[in-house]
Amino acid sequence: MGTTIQPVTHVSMPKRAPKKRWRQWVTGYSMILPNFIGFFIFMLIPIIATIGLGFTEWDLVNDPRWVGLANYKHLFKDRIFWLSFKKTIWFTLINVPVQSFLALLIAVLLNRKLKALNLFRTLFIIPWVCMSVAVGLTWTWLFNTQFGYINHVLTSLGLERIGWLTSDKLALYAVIFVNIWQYLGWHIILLLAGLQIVPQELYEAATVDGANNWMKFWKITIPMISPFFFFDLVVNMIMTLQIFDLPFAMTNGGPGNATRVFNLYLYQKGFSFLLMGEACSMGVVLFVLIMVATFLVFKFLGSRVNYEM
Amino acid sequence: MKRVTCIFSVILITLVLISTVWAAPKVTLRYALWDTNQLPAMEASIKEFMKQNPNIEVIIELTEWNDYWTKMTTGVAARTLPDVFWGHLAYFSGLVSKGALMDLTPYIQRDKLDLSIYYQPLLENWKYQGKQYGIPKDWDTICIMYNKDAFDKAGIPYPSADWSWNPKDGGEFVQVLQKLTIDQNGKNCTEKGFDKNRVVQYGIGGLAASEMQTGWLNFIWMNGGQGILDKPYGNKFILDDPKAVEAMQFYADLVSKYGVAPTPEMQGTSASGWELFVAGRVATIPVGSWQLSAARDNLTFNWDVIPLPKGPAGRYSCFNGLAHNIYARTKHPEEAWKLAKWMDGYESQKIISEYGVVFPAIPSLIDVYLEATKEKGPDHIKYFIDATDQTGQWPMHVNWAQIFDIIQREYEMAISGHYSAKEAVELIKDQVGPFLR
Amino acid sequence: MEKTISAKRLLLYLLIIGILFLYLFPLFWQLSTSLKESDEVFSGYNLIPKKVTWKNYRIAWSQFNVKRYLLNTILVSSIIMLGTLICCSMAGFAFGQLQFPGRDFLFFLYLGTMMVPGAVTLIPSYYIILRLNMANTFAGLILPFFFGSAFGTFLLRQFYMTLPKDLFEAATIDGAGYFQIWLKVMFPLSKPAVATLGVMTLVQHWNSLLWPLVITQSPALKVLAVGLSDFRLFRNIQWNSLMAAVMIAILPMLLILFFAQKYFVKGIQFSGINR
Repeated sequence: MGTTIQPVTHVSMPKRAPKKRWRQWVTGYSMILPNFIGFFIFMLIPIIATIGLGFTEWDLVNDPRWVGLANYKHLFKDRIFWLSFKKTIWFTLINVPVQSFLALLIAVLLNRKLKALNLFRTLFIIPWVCMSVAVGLTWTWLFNTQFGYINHVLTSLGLERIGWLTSDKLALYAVIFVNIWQYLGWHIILLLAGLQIVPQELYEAATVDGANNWMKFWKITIPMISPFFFFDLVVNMIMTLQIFDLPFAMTNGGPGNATRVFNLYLYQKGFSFLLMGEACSMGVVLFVLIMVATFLVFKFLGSRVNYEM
Repeated sequence: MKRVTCIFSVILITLVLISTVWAAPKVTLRYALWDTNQLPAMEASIKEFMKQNPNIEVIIELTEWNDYWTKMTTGVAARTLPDVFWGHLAYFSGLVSKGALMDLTPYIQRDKLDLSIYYQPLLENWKYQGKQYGIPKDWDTICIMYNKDAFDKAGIPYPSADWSWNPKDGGEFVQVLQKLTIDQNGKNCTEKGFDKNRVVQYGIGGLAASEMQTGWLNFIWMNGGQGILDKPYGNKFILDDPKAVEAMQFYADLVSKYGVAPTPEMQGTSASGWELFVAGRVATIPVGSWQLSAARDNLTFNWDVIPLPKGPAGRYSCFNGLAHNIYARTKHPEEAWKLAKWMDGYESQKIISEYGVVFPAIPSLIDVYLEATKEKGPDHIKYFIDATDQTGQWPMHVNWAQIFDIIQREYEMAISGHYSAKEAVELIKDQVGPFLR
Repeated sequence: MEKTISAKRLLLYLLIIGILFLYLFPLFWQLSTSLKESDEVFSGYNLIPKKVTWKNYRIAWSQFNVKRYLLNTILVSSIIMLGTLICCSMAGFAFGQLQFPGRDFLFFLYLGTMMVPGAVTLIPSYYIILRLNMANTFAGLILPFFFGSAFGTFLLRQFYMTLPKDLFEAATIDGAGYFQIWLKVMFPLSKPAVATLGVMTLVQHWNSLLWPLVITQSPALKVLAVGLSDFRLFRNIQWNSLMAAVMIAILPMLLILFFAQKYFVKGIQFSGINR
């Protein structure tokens, strides 16, 4: 299967008559057209507008006023900006590896000829289809310090109850936990799909050579699954850096600033404080952050991925 | 000649007919609000308005509180705010200072509206730089609602109207709350062997940094503090006054030291103060008078209200109210004004008062409201009216959203016991500086 | 020998079911709440209601208008899904199999925008919809997403690239036009990838809250996510009815997932990963 991690690919085409090539151009452009119209109007223009608005002061009511780099200067001096930056990185650093490894573990467990596999897969993916509002409400209920189910279990075991969402130390982890919970199933399915195309002959050959399960896992499964796992990590990272829904629904960034992640602060700047210009410049910063993070992951992890199959 | 006159008059009549139809095309106004409890009353009043103004059609848009303000903010940007909408002081200062609201002063002067029929402090709230942006629609004060059954079960008398608190040992207020804080073995929190990990009922609920209006701001006033800012739209931060800090510490202590209140979880999520009260998990809760109709609909136990406990400097309650705001860029300023004028006017407030869901902003209509709620209770509804005797005002500032965000976040940490109120206030002071300009 | 294997199997099943139980516990909680009487909701920790009642479902369905929201949501999300599938599939084919000037540049542009956070494009998009006079209409809910997404195009391009070149060659020699090749040969082959994208699009727009919230005012246009959010309107949330509404909202998605997942898994196997 595939060769390089390059969006540009080489679709080899035999030489054709110029007329045919011309026809291919026209067909190519016209087939992209509908998709491109949507992309242009609802993605490209808004993005350019956002970049431009990042250089203005705009309160949503009056017309934007050009202020140059003032927004960025102001942001870099804002303590909460750096705090939310740190929270987001921390959120991502914990969420991504834990979620992906946990998913891999369960996927390996499920990767057998199970009669009920379809059912299991569906069950694991249910939280993914639940609305964030509902997920947030349910979990804040379970996590409630005095009346939540989790603390009920703890006190039944004779333990002290814990302020999951009211402690500034724990709240972030509680939200990360729920995030891992909600999207775990999706990652399981993705990795399970990868596991299922590992050729069985490889395992059979290894058995003949006297390898045990553990060795098979490390020598066959891990290398074989690495492209899937890498893809999963990258997509997961990009999504997590943009996390918004759950902190918004569960804690609204609190207690204090404990769960105020970057995107949430961006939203509040724009829609609560009516500082749209600064919010737009935060959007640009987030975009750069994601680009850099993706680049780093490709640089340091991408080279270890095994694409031979 | 006669024929000519005849033809002429026919033409004239036709012209007049056409012009009336032409001049009065149906105008559609959008009207937005957030409270379901008040919806039927509003609908009734608007129906009457449309009967009197057949050329105006009003479309009502109901949205949940949080979503309401999200929508208003995006609406401001896109210039699609509803023509007439409910305003709240928490958002008023931000909107008005950015020019999103229509100045009503010229209209009031033109129509010679008599504003003296309204509560004057309420009228004052809706002023900005000497101009009037809203006419009071209603008002609310704060009292404590309590579960009578919980008092009976604990074997203590219902609190008297002159109960009090002090920041030293909490006074009678804390003693009552302690007896109402009960663990699963039926022991209250003054008794030996009380298990603080298995409390089934707390003395008081709904304490949170976000609950400024029903909660801590009143305690600051009652302790002799002045509030947050020196004056409406003032730039001097006075929350660091020792009296204010002391009161804030006391309020936080109810949770972290006395343990008579559950830790505040985020409002609007499950198990918020009000829901715990409904479920009988907290015995008392400070509420605004707007909560009465929800109480009548949902409470399954016996309940009543009592004034806030008196503090060292007396008893104070936040005195607040809503108004109808008009969008500055409305396409139909005349009609929008007509609607706002009607909604806040005497007749409409009378119709609304008859539903008994909210106190009218016109003092002379109080009796209509009381008559309407005589059957429904509570017995001591008059305490809400008494509370208007000595009141404090909602703090106003053009950067209020940012300032309150900072206060709320830092004070929240003090309430959960992460640090003291003094430390919180110092942190707040550091951060609000740039916004007080 | 035979026996030990089946014992192992049994253990495996038990383990999986155990994990699933813990994993799905919040959902059992929701389900159990949706079947409880109001006075039982806050009073205990029992997972099995003392008295099972279906009343909450009736209340949610008619009194809270979940019926209307459900219909709106089905309409909006399925039209978006259809548009996305057609547009992304065509574009994916063109990017993956055809050659034309500027192709790679465009594709890079697409990839870049996938990293742009959604909150920042909200206001400009909103402006555009207003200028098009589509605020507070079904069109305004649908249009921005109807033409598909950069991600969808990316996903399908990856899939089309894995299809053997001979297919394309053979079809060209037969004299079929490129569009014909896509329509007759390639599109039918891309079922798994299309199913994957379909399910993902459906879930995304089924749950989407922010856009419908700001773009619609009329109650007749409310979708499920907005409607559920409205439950907070009643200062005293009726948890059991809310949870019943949540259950109603999840059910259609579950059915679709169950039936589409065979393709869904295949789609993942061939698409995104094999760059």
